Amino acid sequence: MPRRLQEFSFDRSTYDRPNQSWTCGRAAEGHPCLVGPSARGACQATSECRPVKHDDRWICTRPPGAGGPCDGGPLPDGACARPIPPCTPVRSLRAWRGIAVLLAVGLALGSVLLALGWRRGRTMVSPGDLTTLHQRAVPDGDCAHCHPRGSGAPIEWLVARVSEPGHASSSELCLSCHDLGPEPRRPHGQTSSELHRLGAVLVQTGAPATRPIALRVASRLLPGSDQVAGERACSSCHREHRGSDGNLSELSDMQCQVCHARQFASLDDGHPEFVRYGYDRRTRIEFDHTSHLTSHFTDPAYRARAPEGCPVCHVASASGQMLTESYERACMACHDQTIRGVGRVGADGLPFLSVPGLDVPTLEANGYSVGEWPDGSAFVDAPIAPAMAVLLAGDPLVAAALASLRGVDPVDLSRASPEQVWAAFTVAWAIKALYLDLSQRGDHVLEDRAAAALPDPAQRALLDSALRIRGGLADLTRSTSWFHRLEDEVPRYRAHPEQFVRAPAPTATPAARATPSPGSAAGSGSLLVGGGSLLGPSGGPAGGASLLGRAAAAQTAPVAPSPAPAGGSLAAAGGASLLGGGLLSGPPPAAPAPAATATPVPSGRRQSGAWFRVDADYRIYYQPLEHADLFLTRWYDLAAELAARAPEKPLDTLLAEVSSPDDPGACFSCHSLDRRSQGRFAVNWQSRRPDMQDHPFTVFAHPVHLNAARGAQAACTSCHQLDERAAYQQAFARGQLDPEHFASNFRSIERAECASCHTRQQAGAACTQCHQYHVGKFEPTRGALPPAWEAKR
Amino acid sequence: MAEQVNRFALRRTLGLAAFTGVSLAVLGADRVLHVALHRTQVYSGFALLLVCVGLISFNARKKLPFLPLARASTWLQVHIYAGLTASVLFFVHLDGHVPAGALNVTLECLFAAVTASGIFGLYLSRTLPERLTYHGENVVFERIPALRQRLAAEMAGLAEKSVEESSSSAIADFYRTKLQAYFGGPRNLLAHTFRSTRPRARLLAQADAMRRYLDAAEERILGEVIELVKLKDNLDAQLALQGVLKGWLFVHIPLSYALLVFAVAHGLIALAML
Repeated sequence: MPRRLQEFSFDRSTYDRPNQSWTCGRAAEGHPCLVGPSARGACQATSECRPVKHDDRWICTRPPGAGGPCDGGPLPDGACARPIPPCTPVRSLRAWRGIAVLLAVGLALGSVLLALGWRRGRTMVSPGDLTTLHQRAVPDGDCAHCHPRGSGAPIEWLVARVSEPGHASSSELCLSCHDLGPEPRRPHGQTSSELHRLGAVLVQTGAPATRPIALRVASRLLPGSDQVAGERACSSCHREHRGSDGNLSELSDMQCQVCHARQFASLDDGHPEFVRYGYDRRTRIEFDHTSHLTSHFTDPAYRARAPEGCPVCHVASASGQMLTESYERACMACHDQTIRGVGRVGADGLPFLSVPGLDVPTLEANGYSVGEWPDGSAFVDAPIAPAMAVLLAGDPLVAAALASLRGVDPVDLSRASPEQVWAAFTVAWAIKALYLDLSQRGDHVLEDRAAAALPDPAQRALLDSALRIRGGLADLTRSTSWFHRLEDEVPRYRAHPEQFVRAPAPTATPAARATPSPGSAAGSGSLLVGGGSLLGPSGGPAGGASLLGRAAAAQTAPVAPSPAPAGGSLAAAGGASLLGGGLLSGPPPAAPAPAATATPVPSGRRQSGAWFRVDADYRIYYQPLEHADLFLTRWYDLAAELAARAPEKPLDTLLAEVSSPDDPGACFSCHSLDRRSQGRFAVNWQSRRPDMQDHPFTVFAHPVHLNAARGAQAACTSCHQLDERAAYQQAFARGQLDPEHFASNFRSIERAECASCHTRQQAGAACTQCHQYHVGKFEPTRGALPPAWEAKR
Repeated sequence: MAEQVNRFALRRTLGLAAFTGVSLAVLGADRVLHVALHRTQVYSGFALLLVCVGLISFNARKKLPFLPLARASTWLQVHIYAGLTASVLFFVHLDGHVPAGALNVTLECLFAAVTASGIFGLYLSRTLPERLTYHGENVVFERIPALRQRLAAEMAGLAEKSVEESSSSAIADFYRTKLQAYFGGPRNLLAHTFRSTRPRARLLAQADAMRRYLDAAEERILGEVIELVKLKDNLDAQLALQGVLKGWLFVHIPLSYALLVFAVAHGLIALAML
C-alpha cells in the first residue's frame, strides 16, 4: 500500500482557494499562511495566530491544521510570538487564465475597431471577392456602388443603418446598371396580369405533377403574401462576394419553381408540354421549305443549284441561335433575276414623281387658274406618287389640301365641294413649284423638302439615306416636256397667288359638268395613290381595297401609251370648250395661258442613273438595281414609319405601296411585313438575327447539340420534321400582318424529344439549362464591361 | 456501478439523439428556406450567434455557483452538444463557400480553433482522469508544490541519515548527482503527458543497480529513497496531466471570447448591409 501524501480531515486539511486571483507566496514552499493575500494581491499576514484573552491569559489560537497551539504561547502583551515574514503573493492559475481572456478580448476588440473605424477597413470586412465583371464595374472598390449604406468606414454603415432606416435598397443600385425592362423586380419582369395568365395556362397544361416535399413546404414559406404581385430583391437569387469566378446565377430547380403555380420534379416528370416550341412566329423571310424541298430542288432545272443540306443555308451563331445565311449565299443563285426585273410584266420601277390628271375646266369655271397643265395626264390617270406627296407635304397649306382631296377624283371635280376645288388648285401649283425647284436647284431641293415634311429626325434620317441615290433625278425633271412655262408661271404665282383666282362664273357649262372623265370612269379616283388610308380608320374596307387595287394596277400594269378613250377626248374637248367659252371671262394680264394650249401627249422612256422617265405615263420612276436596294428598303421603312406615326395624314397611304409583293424589286414576295405594338409596322428585311436586347424565356444552344450529333444531317431533321400539309404560305397572304398567326413548315418539337436525353444522369435537366429568368427586351448591362468593350458597343 | 454505467449510457444516448435531431432540423430548415429564396445565412447566423452566447454563458455559470441554474454537469452536457450543434450551424452558415476577407477568415479560424480545442478538451476530460486515477494518489493541483517540497525535504533527510548510519556515501552521492535536482522541481512532464515511463524506469534502475554495493542499513534506506522517487514521480504525473486538463482551457476560453467579439462585429456589419 503506497503511502498517501495528503490528509483530508476537517482539522488537518488546509483550505485551498483556487478560484481566488492571488495565492500565498509560500505555498510553493509548503508553508502557506492561513490568512492569504488580499484581493489586490497584497500580503496581509502578520503572525500565525491572533491570540485571544481568556481570564487574564492570552491563549494561542493557531488551528490544528497549522500545528495547533504553539508551545510558547502569545507574548505578555497579547501579541503572537510567531510572526510571519511578509511574502510576495503569486497569481493563481485562474487569474492567469483571466488575463489571457482579457488579452484575447482586447486584441479582438482592437482588431475589430480598427476594421470598423478605418476607411480602408472595408477590405477587411469584405466577405469575399466580387465576380470579375463586377470588379471591373467598381474598380475603386467602393462598397457604396452596390450597398446603399456602404460609403465611408464600416462604422459609418452601422450609424447609417440606425439613423437612415428608409434608405434605398441594394436592388435599386443593381438596376442603376442593369436594365431589365419596365418591371425589373417583378417575377420574370412580367406584369401581375401576365403572370396570372401564364400561371393559369400552366396549371391547365399536362397531368398533375409530382411535387418534391421541400418544394411543397417552401412554397408556404415564401416571403411576402402575393408572389405574383410582389417584387423580389436581386439578392434573392444572386449572391455576390463568392470569388472572382463565383456563379451569380446559380439556382436550384426547386428555387426556380418555388413561386410557380405548377410545380414538378423534372423535365420528364411533370414539365408542361411544349406549345409550338421552336416556331413562335412566322418566318421573317417567306421561304416555303416544303415547296423548295419537294418541288423546286428536285426540278431538273434547279437541281444543280439546290443546297446539299441544311448547313448550307443555316449556320449557328456564337450565341447558339441558328441563323439563315445571307441572300448571296442562300438565295441569289435562283432569285436574282426576279429582283432585277427580268421577265417582269409592267413598269420595272417605283413611281417617284408624277403629273396627276386634273379637271382644269372645272377649276377654271370656279375661277382657279392652274396655268399650263398637260392634257394627256388626264388620260393616263397618274395619281400623285407617294414619294411626291411626302415632298409636297412640307407646306402645311398643301398638306391640308392633300388631306382635303382624299377620296376625290381630280380628273372630275364637277361634284367636288368648293374647298376640294381649291385644294386641287393648291396642289396643282405645288406640283408645278416642285418641278421648277428640281429643275432649277437640282436634287438638293429634296433635302429641304424632306426636312420640311418630316419633323421627326428618325423619319428624316430614313428619307435622307434613301435619297442618297438621287443622281439623275434633276436631269430627268429638267428635260421633261410636261411643262414649258414653269419659270414664268410659278414665280408669278408665288408672288401674287391672288391673281390666279378670280370670281367664279355664275354657272358652269352643263356640258363641262356632265363631261365624264377617265378618272371617274375608273371608279373611285383620287389625286393620291390609294386615295385614303389602307390601314387607317378613315379608309374603310371597300375604299382601302379599291385604293390598293388602283395602286397595284398602277404598278403592275401602267397605262400604255394607247389612244385616249372617248371619255378622255371628251374631257379634253370639254376643257377646251370651257376655256374657249370664256367662262373665265378673260384672264388677267398676268394669268397663264389657257390649258387648251397644253402640249400634246408625249411618249418614250429616258434613263438617267437609277431613275427613268416614261413620258407617256407622266411619271418618273426609281429602278431598283440589286437585292437590298438602299432606296427601296429605306423608302419602305419610311412608309411603315409614317403609317404608324401619322395615320390621320395622307402620308399613311404610303403603306399601300409596301404591302404588295408585286412591287418593283419583288421585295414583298419574300420579305414579310409585321404589325407590331402601338400601331407600328416593320418590314422584315433580315431573317432572324442575334439580338442583344432580346432575352427569351427559352434558349437553345444549337452548336452543343450539333456537336453531340457530330454534325450528322439527321441531327437537324430529328428535331425539325417537315410538315408537308402545313399551310405555310397562307400566313404571308396579302393583308396578313400578324406574325403570330402562322403555320410552320415543321412539326412542333415535343417535350419527350428533349426529355429523352435531358435527364439528370445524361445531358442534365436543370431549369437554367434552357430557361432564362429575366425575360423581355432590354439593353445589355451598362457599365459592367471593360472600357474597350463598351467602346465597341 | 452498473447503475452508474447505465445512467452514463442513457445520458450519452439522449445527448446524441438530441444533437442528431436538432442537426437534422437545422439542415432541413436551411434546405427549405433556401428553396424559398430566404436569406438563410441571416437565420443561421443569428442562430449561431445565440448558440455561441449560450455556450459562453457556461463559463459565467461556473462563476455563479450560488444561482439555482441546474447542476454544472448538466450545463456541461448541454455545452458539449450545443457546441457540436454550433459546428453544424457553422457549416450551414458557410453555405458551401470558404469565406474571404480578414474579418471573416479570422472569424472562421477562431471558430475552428474553439471547436477543435473544445473537442480536444472533451477528449482530455474523458481520458486523463482515468490515467490520473490509475497512476497513483490523486492530489490537489494547487498542493503539488508544497507536497513536492515536503518530499524534497524528506529525501534530503534520508541522504544525511545514510551518511550518519553508515560509513558509505553511496546514497548521498546518488542523491547529490541525481535525486537532488529530481526533487528540486517538476520533472519529465512531457513524458508523463505522453504516457512514457522511461525516465522513471531509468532512475529506478540506477537506484537498483546501486543496491549490490550497499550494506543492509543502506539497503533499507535505499528502499525508502525508491519509495520517495515513486511518490515524486506520481506528483509529476499529476502535475502534467492536471496541467493539461487545465491548460486546454487557456486556449478554449480566451478564444471563445475573442470569437464572440468577432461574431458580433460580423453580425452588425451584415445587419448594416442588409
